[in-house]
Amino acid sequence: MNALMHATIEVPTLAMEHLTKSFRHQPALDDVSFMVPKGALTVVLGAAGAGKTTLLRSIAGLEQPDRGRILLGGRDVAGREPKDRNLAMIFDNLALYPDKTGFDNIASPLRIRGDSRAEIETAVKEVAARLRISHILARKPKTMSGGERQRVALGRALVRTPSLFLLDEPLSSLDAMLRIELRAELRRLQRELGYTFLMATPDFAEAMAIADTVILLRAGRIVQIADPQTLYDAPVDRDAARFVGAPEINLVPARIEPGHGLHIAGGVLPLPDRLAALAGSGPVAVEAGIRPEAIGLAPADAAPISGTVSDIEPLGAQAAVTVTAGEAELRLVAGAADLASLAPGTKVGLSIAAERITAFDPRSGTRLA
Amino acid sequence: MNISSTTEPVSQTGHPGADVCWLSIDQLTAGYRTGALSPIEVARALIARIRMLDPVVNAIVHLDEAYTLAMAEASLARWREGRPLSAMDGVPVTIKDLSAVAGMPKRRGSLAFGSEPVGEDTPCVARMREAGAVFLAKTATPEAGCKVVTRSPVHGVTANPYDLTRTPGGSSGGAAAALALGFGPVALGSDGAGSIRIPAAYTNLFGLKPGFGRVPAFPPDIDMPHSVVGPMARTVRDAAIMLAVISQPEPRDPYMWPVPFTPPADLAMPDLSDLRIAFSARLGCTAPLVDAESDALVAQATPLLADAGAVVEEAAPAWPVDPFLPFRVFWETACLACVEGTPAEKRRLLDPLILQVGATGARVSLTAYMRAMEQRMAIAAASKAFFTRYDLLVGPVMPVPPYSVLRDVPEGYANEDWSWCPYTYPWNMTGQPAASVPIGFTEAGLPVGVQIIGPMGGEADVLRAARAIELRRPLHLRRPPLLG
Repeated sequence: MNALMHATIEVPTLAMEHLTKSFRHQPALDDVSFMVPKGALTVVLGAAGAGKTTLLRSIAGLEQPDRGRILLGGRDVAGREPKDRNLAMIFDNLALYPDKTGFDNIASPLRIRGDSRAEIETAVKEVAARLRISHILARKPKTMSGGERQRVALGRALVRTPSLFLLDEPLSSLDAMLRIELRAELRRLQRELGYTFLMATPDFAEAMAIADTVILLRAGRIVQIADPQTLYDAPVDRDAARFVGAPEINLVPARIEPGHGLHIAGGVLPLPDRLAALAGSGPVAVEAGIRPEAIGLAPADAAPISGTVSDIEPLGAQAAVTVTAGEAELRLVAGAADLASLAPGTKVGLSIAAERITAFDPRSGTRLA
Repeated sequence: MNISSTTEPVSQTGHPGADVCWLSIDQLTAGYRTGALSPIEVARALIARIRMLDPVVNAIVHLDEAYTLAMAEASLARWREGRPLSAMDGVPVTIKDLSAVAGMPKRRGSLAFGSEPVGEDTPCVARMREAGAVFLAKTATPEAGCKVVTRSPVHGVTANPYDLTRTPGGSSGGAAAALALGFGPVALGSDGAGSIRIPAAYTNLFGLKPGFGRVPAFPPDIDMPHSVVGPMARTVRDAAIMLAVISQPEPRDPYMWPVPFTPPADLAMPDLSDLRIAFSARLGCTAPLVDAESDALVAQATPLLADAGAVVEEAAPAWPVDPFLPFRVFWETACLACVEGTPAEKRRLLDPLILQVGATGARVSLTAYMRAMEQRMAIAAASKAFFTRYDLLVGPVMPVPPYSVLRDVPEGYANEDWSWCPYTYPWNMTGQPAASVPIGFTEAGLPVGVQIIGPMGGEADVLRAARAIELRRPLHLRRPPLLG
């Protein structure tokens, strides 16, 4: 007997197949395919206008795709009304009714649907218990903490027992501190209760902090699908590298000299095998991508690369220090201890972790190694 | 291009704006369609919000809960059946009290007219009603829209939500203060000399004065082509959706554009490489009053538009005559028309400014009026020539940030004097579309807008350029500090 017959083949909660959508010849989504596994938190990351909202609205049934299929729980949902797709959309601002109690906020979609009083009572209490907000059901949003409001907003979505949550920049209009707090809480709830989330955000830090998988969207096309660390360490191209990370990745011209080293920023670094493999017998010009944290300060006389501090931009406890070295401008992040001895004009040495350098094709921007 | 800056925290509010009041049109209708939100509950929440917050600014002049909820109830029934009337079905909208709404009073800020309900919608209001929009309230206006601020003999003065000691501008200042406080996503304003753009600039909002004829009107306004109605909103997209509704044809309007308005397909993320844009810090006008901080903010539009792909050059129309000269004649004679249109026994109830300027208007000779008409045509022709070389013109809306709510005009000017505010009315005289888009805040936290002017029929490009700025300066996420 075939062993495969006994294996549980998990049907993904959502599968997108070649989804394409234009608005009067302006492509908004172009051949978008991906899967969202059950219980995972998948983030669609992209700049404003990349197509994130159109993607979420298509899944919800609010936009009709021109081509391609959307499968929810393995079933094609073409033609199925948004309210029959068993999805919850969570909006920007977590949009609660401010004049309703927690209970009434959570109950509101059931009332729209026309459920009976008893059914509503049972459903709301069950959801509230699961989200541990039973004690605030009688209160109005303005007396709740940010975390409690978020739970009420989730509860209002959850009460209809959706198979998938679509979150369209749910935290975008919150201030930075609260956003960081709420995203951690959102992640905790999602994991704890095993919900499936597809969340859109333009904020790479948010994606890095909470995603199982990041789908990087650019001009309606998927550029890369990867876990956050891979996206950071091995971005598919120069633009992806620049979009992810702050301060931005350094991009400087470099030359791989086989048997000699990596010529960069007026100095020579030892050549990691990975980069050496790019060159045949002769030298190869590449664009080197170096994360600011891969650059360290070293005594000026002993370092392979030396330069002059041209700018110091405070980032709170640390600062972004720009160093002009040879033809290149390199940004690194320095801590308080180093900053004491730095000022524009200071001569410094730089150590670069060569194994962390990525190489891009100088013309196309594609990552080579 | 650097749009990743939109990830920077922009909101100044210290706690979550966890409230349906800030939802956009698309978000509201997505909620209605999926059954997550109800037009009735949204309307109720907004009415409660108006009751709570409006006393602080005095933006609302008429609120009729039963009227609004009946419209919302009808919308909910349509959404339940899966048969919404349009992309605006169930969307709450406020209407400036210069426009007629059947079953609501139309006082025009005047003590000379009663508060009995009118019988018929003005065309753009009728189009919104046919689209299923929910009329939330009527907003404050100075009498007949005659001021750069919002103060009337009937309703008193409206304050700026960003600083209650300042004016929100006018004359659509009620609409602006309402939007800034989250009383619905869109508002109907009107603009005869800057009345949509000025309050939009002063309250961190988007406002579009459509070109003359773009939004049908009936009966025709004697002040044509100066006065038009148009959308005000927190986002460019919401204004575009509203314009698509209110620009629907009206068979009785003899001057309406025979071409339908279609929102630009690339509005989400416009590529402006097809546009040649002129930037001018003075728009070719005489500017007796200037402010360095406003100038510096307005100038920031240039790199933003260039980043979106546009070619941007410094250039301004060469006006054959100072636009202020003919404008003054039209302003004085429009006030005269307002006086003449009021029953003789009621005229003493008119705003003293209208009586004063109307009296000056009565002394304008026919020859002077004809000369003003001629000058207006020469100005329109000069603008037409300019717009053969450029697709858009960008510059200031206001010479100074919002000033004291106690004053009708900035210090040093007489109430009837428009000379200090020269950037908006030229485009009423030429009939061209012009918009105000948020560009920044002064050190004191006061909003500043930048003006984008298009050629006749150029609303789509005005919207695209506005969106390009909004994408790079997401100030629509910022809220008045009084909201905490």
